[in-house]
Amino acid sequence: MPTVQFNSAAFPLQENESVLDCLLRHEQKIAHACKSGVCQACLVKAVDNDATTQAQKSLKPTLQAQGYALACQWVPEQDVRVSLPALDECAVTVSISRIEPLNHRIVRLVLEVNADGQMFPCYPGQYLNITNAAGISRSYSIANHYAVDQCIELHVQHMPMGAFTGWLFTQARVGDILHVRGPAGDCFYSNPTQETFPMVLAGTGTGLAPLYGIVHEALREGHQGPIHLFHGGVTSRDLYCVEALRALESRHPQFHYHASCLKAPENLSKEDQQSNTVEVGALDEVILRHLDAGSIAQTRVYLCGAPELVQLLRKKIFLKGAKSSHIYCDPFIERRVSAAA
Amino acid sequence: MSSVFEKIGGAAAVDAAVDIFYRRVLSDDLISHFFDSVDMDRQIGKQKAFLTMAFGGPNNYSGKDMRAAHKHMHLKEEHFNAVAGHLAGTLQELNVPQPLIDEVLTIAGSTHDDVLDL
Repeated sequence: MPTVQFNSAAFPLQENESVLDCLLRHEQKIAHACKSGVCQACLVKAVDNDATTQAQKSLKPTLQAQGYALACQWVPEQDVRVSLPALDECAVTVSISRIEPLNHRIVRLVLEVNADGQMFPCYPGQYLNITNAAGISRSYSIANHYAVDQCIELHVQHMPMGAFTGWLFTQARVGDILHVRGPAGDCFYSNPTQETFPMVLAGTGTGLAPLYGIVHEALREGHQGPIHLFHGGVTSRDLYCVEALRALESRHPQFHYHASCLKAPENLSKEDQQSNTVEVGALDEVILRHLDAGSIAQTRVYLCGAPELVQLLRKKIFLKGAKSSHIYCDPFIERRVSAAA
Repeated sequence: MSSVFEKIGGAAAVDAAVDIFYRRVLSDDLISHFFDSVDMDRQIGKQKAFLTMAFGGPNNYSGKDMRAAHKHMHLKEEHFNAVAGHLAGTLQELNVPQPLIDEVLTIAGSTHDDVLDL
């Protein structure tokens, strides 16, 4: 009989038994609910083997592309190996190639993979876990396409009292060695059938990093639908990559960049405020002003950054008519907690 | 004789219904707070499991689970009726024939005493 390998043990399958039923029968801890391929609680990752079409068919394409499957719908005919959704165990050695300021508290950190290393496949918008020589680990979103640029670009915000960023902003030097593991996250551009769906991307702070990667990837792939990127700050000091995004906008007519801040800049003239280069208002209000009711049901939505904001935006955009399965989220805190666990 | 679940369109019907249903309950001030948790994925999963059950599809709901899951919410008749109303409204939006809607409401109605802890 074939077996299911899980947590370094092999569990024999019975005739016509699903991966989930097999693991439960062997008293393995795995989340599950409906056992009907509906609720998606029993998500697992196929390791070094392909899951059946049946086990993957109801998942988002971004999850399918990473080998995820539903354990309750997977009836294997040969040995399979599965793991729970988590950061991969393999680590890649990288070194710091550049650290450049992007605004008053955010830097662009560029990493190169060391000559003997092999970078794992990853999509712009996914995140990876990075560990410094002192053993401090944090998760950061990937802002570029590694296979194209041959380097990894991350945007890092200085956290008061932060152990990792304290080191990065004061002591780190070009050439320092770090280790990265990953990738994780399903917030990335996936459009194998070259559809022209509209895209809405929104975030605050370094929530821009994954969105920046996704926008560039979509444009690189020749995405034809309208792309609206919203980046919000408390004041305009919190924005970054403004010039680069304006330049991108002028090169790609389908791309629209919306910078916004909560407070109107004090030193801005009325003319400047009315010229609409930086909109004033809460990010959710700014987005709702621009949402197109006619195409919202087809729109893919990407939300990254502070968890409270991501959840708020997700709900508001869903209530406006976006499909729940078309909203991709990367709330930053939760993933750091889960990455640390 | 095929089941309600098959007649209504199976898992595809659940997929079509879940967003409409969840949008309706989230927009209803009487009950939205019961559904407005931080984890929308989990909420969508729960609503899918509920709809699958209500459509007569495969599920593992037991009366005991139903009772335990709802007990802490101290639900009243009006809350139950509001959810049932949104279930019917969702199916009407999807142009499901009334006799099928009635069958679904009968299944959902069978959970009445467990959900309200009577």
